[in-house]
Amino acid sequence: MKLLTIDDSKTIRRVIAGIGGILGFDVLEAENGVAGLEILQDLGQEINLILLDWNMPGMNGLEVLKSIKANPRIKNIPVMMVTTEGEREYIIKAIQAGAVHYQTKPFSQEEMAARIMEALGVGG
Amino acid sequence: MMSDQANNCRIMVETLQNVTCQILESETWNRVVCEPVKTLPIFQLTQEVCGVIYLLGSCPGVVAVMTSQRSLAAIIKSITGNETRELTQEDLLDGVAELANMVCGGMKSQSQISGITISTPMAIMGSEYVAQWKTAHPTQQLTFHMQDHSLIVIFSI
Repeated sequence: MKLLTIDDSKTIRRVIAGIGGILGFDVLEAENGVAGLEILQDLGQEINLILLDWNMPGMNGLEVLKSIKANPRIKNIPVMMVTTEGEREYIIKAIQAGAVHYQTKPFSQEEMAARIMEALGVGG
Repeated sequence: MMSDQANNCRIMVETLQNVTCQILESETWNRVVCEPVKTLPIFQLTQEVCGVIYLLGSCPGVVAVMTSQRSLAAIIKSITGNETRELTQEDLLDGVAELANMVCGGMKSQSQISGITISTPMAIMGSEYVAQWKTAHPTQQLTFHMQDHSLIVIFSI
């Protein structure tokens, strides 16, 4: 099982990699939207879940999400937004664009682990 | 009668205090004590590592989260759950930027003031520098203590 975290913060990628590792995932990391889309272009068929930050320099998370959902090869990979943006309007926009779950920062290990399993349809 | 701007400023300071306390308590598992808010004449960075974020849109302003390298290292180690790993300069810069992002993102969500957007964070680190911003209003300083570490958040509109 492979998980891709797209976040400009190395700190957050490290936290997610740790939680993903505990859950038995092979965690891939991208520091921005373009790098994330490149990984998806190469390895999209192998990735089971994408964790996507919203506020990133260059392409923001919503733009990345829309790109993913517009690409028939990768549009079925579940995407969870992981962001400090906790307002209702942001959550609605993300869900409308195709995100399956939404986690605000900061989060505990237990919270994130539960959200990952829920996003994959095996928890909750 | 308080103006909208003064009222927004009061709400934002209160929210910054609550959000920063919540983040520090949840991430470090320590009790956090917050000093009374201080009003300063200028917005100036006074600590070794700082994360600065601009508030844009309906209530323009600037927020800085700052602390010592030692305290920041302790906070980042708690966040990442790795107490033993040596942190590099890049780790500290990234960590303070993300901490500022969490504080401002939480403030933006919880203050319920509509139309605020936040910039991506800028991180500054050094044992000796002077950095100050010209602002239209005095700076509000919030100081948080946990065990033998402290963190300062300053805010101005």
